[in-house]
Amino acid sequence: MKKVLLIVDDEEIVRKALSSQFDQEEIEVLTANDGQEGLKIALERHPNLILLDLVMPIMDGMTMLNKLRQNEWGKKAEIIILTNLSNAEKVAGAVELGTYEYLVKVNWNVSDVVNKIKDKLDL
Amino acid sequence: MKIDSKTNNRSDRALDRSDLRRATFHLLKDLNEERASLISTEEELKKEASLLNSIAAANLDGILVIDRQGKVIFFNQRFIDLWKIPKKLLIFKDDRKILAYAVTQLFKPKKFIAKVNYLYKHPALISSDQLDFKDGRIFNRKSIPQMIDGKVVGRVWRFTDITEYQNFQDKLVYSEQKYRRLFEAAKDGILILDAKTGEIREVNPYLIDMLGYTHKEFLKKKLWQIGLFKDIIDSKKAFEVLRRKKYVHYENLPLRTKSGKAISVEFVSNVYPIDHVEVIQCNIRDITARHDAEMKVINNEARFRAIFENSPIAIVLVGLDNHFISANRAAIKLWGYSEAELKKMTFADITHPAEVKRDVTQAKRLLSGQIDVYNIDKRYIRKNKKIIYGRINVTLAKDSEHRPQYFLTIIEDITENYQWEKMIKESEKKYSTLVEQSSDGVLIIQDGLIKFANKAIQEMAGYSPKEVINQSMLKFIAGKYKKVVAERYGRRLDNLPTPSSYEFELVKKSGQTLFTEINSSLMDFNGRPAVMAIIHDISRAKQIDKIKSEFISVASHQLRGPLTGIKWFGQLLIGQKVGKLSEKQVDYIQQIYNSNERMIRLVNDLLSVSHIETGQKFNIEKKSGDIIILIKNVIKDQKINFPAKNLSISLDKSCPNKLIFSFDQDKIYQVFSNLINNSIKYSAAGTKIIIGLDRLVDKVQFFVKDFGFGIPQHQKNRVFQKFFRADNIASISTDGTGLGLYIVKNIVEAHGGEIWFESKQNKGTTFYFTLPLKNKKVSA
Repeated sequence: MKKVLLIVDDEEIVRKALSSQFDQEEIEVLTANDGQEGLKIALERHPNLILLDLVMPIMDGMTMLNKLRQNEWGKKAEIIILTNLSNAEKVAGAVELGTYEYLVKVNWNVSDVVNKIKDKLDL
Repeated sequence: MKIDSKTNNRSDRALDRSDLRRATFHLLKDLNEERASLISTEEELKKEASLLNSIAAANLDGILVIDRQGKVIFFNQRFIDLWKIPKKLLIFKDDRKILAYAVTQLFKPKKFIAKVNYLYKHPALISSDQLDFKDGRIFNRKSIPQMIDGKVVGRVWRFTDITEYQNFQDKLVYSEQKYRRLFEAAKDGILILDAKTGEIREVNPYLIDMLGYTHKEFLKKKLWQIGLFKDIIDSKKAFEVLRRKKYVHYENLPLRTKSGKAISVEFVSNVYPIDHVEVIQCNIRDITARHDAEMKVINNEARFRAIFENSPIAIVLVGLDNHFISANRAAIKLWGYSEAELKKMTFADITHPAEVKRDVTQAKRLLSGQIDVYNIDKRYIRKNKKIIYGRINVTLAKDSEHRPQYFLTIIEDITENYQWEKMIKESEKKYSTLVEQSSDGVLIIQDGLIKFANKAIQEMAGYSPKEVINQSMLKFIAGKYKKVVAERYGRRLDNLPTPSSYEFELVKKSGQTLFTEINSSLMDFNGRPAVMAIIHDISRAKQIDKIKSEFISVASHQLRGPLTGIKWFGQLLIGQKVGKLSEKQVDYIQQIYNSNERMIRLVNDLLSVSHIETGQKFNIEKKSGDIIILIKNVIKDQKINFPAKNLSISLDKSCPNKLIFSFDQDKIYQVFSNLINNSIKYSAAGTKIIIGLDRLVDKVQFFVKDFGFGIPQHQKNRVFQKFFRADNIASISTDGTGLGLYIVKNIVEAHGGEIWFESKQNKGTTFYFTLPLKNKKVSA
C-alpha cells in the first residue's frame, strides 16, 4: 500500500520543495494551503504522516491539531510540526498534545527533513 | 639780782617774753626797794611811782596789786581788758565786788576763791596756776607777795592770756600723739634716720616685722649696717642720695630680709627737721605681693596679647562710645580696614545698615546690665563693599570695681557656612520641588514602612500619599515579588551589594497590578538609615516591548518562510537532484546559498535576542540526547559552510564516543554552532580547531579551542555584550552580527551552566562552558 503524506503549509515553496523529493510510486503526497483544507483532507484520506505548519490563514495549525485530536482516527494520527516559529510557548502547546516532534524549517536541511519523513513512514 | 628760777613750769621756760617781764618786774621791785631806801623825798617817790605806772601800763599782762587787807591798790588797763571789768565796779574800788564779778567768768570759781583765801593766809607764798574760763580762754595766774624790808605789805597778781599758746600746745601734743599712733600702727614700714650721721633713730613695728630684724638691731645702727641695700657701698651711696634729695621715690626697690628673702618695696623718703635736727623719714611699703600680682597681670596681659593677636578668630575691643579700641590681625583681615582706620570708626560703621539699630540697642542692654552676653549672626560690610556674615559674641569687660571698661567682641566668619547653608536651603527647596513635580513615584522607606510618598503615587497606584504613610511597603507589592523585594531592601540597608534597579509589579488600589521599575538608594532620614525608592511606571514600556517582540517574532517568522525556500531549493540544486550542473553553476548557486545562510543566521539571532530582551527567554526543552552526535553534526555543517578556509575542525581525542544527557538540542546546537563559527572566522587558514569535553561531578565542561587571532586584552570584558565585535576582527571579516556570544551566554545560563574564555592575542582563544548533568529546574 502506498503511503500517504499530507503537507499542510501555506507556503508554496515549502510544499513544492518537499513534495518533489518523494518517489511517486512509494508515496502519495497531498497538500493543503491552510488548516481547514488540511483538516478536511486528513479526515478524508487518513494520511500516514501529516507535516503541519502552525502559522496559516483561515485556520492555523494549532486549531487544526486540536480538532484533529477530537476525531477517533485523528487522536492517533502521526504528526510532525513544521514551523518557522521558535516561540517555545506556542510550540509547547503542540508538544503537549502529543505530536512526535517539531522542527524549525529554516534550520533544517531539506535532505534531513526528507530522511526524517521517510523514517517515519518506515521507508 | 635775784631771778626767780624755782618754778619749773614748761611754759615759763619756753617763753622768753615772760622771763623778760619777770626780770623787769623783779628788777623794778628791787629797783623800787633799793631806790626806796635811797629816796628821801616824796617827789622822788612820785617819780618812781609814775615810772612804775608807765611800765605797768605798757605791760602785756594784767597786773593787780592788793594790800595786806585785800584792798586794791593798783591795776593796769590790761587787767581791766583781760577781766572785762565794767567801769562802775572799778570806781568803787571794791575788790570783793571785782572778785565776785571776776569769778563768774571761770569754770571753777570756788577753786579760784579758795586759792585766794589760801594765799591771804600765807602771804609769803608765791603761786602760779592756770585759770580756765567758760568762754574757752585760759589765763596763767602768777601771784607774788610784795615785800618791803622783809615784810609782806601786799600781793601782786599777774594774769597772762595763754589761750592761743595753750591751744597751740594742745595741738602740738595732739599732733605728736597722732604721729606716734600712726607710727606705731602703720601698715607700712617707717624708718627715721639722722640725716647727718645716718643713724637709725626710730623704726616702727611694721618694718621690724617686714625685714625680720629686731628693734635693737635697728636702733643706733647706721643704714648701711643693716644691709638694707645690696651692699655697704650701695647703702652709703643710697644714703647720700637720700640726704641730698629732699624727696626720693623708688617705685620698685629690691631688698633682702634678714633671712635673705627677696622682697620688692616701694620706697619714699623725705627730709625734714625734728627738734632742729634734720631727719630722713623713709616710708617702705612691701609690694612683693603687689609686685607679683603686677607681674602676673603683666604676664597675663602678655599672654592675652599673644592670644589676642594670634587668634585665627577676629577679636576686637570696642569702647563704651562704640569706637574700636583695638583689633587683632584676624579682624583686620576680616573687614579689610587697618587698625588705625578702625579706631576712627564705630562698630555701626561696618555693620549692615538694616542691623545697626538692633546692635546699638543690644550694646545698651549690655551696658545697663540687662544682659551679660550678646550672641547673634550678623552682616558686616567690608572695606571693599562686600557683605560678609559673622557669628559674634559680645561681652562687657569690667574692672575690679565692676565698672564697665570696654566691649569684647569675638567674630567668627561664617560667610562660607552661610553660603553653604543658603545653597543647601535652595537645593533642598529645589529637591522638594523636584520630588513633588516628579512623574515618578518617590518613596522613603524606613523600618519597612513608608515614611514619605510624593504626589505621583496617586496617579500610579491610586493611593494618596496620606493613605500609604506608615503602611508596610509589602502591602503594595504583588505576591511573587514580595520576597525578593524584601530581601533587597534588607541588603540595601545593610549596605550589601544588591541591584540598585530592578522590576517588579505593584498592586494598585483597584487591585490591578502595574509593572514598575524601582531604583533604590540608601539615605539618611531623621538621623537613621532609610531607603529611597524611585518607582517608574514601565507598563507602557513593557507593552511596547511586548509589541516589539511580537513584531520581531512575526517579522522573523515571515522572513523565515522565504529563507527556507531558498535554502531548500538551493540544497536541491547543489545536490544535483534536478539535473547535472556545471561546476561553475554549482559554485554560483553555492554563493546564493551561503548568503541565504547568513541571512537565516541573522534572523535567528534577532529572534533570539528579542526573546532574551522581552524576558521570554528560552524555555529550555531538555530532552535526552547524545551530545557527541550533535557536535559532530555541527562540525559537519560548519565544514559545508566554510570549505575554503582549510581548517581542521575535530573532536578532541579525550572525547567519549557517546554522552547522553538532557539538554535542549536546538539551543545547544546553536551554542556549538556559534562558537565554532567564531573560531573559524577568527583563525587563519591552515590552523586547527578542537572541540572537547570534561566530565565533572555533576556537570560537563565543554571547550572550543582555536589558534587564531585571539581577543584583545582591553576588550575582554565586552565579549559577551550585544553587538560587540573585537577590533582585531572587524577589518578582517564583515560577517557577523555581534549577537552570537550574547545569545550563547544566555542559552548556557538558561541551562544553569556557566561560560568563560581564555585568550591571548595572536595565539588563540578557548571558550569553556558547562552544562549541568542532572535535570535541574531552571528559572527563566
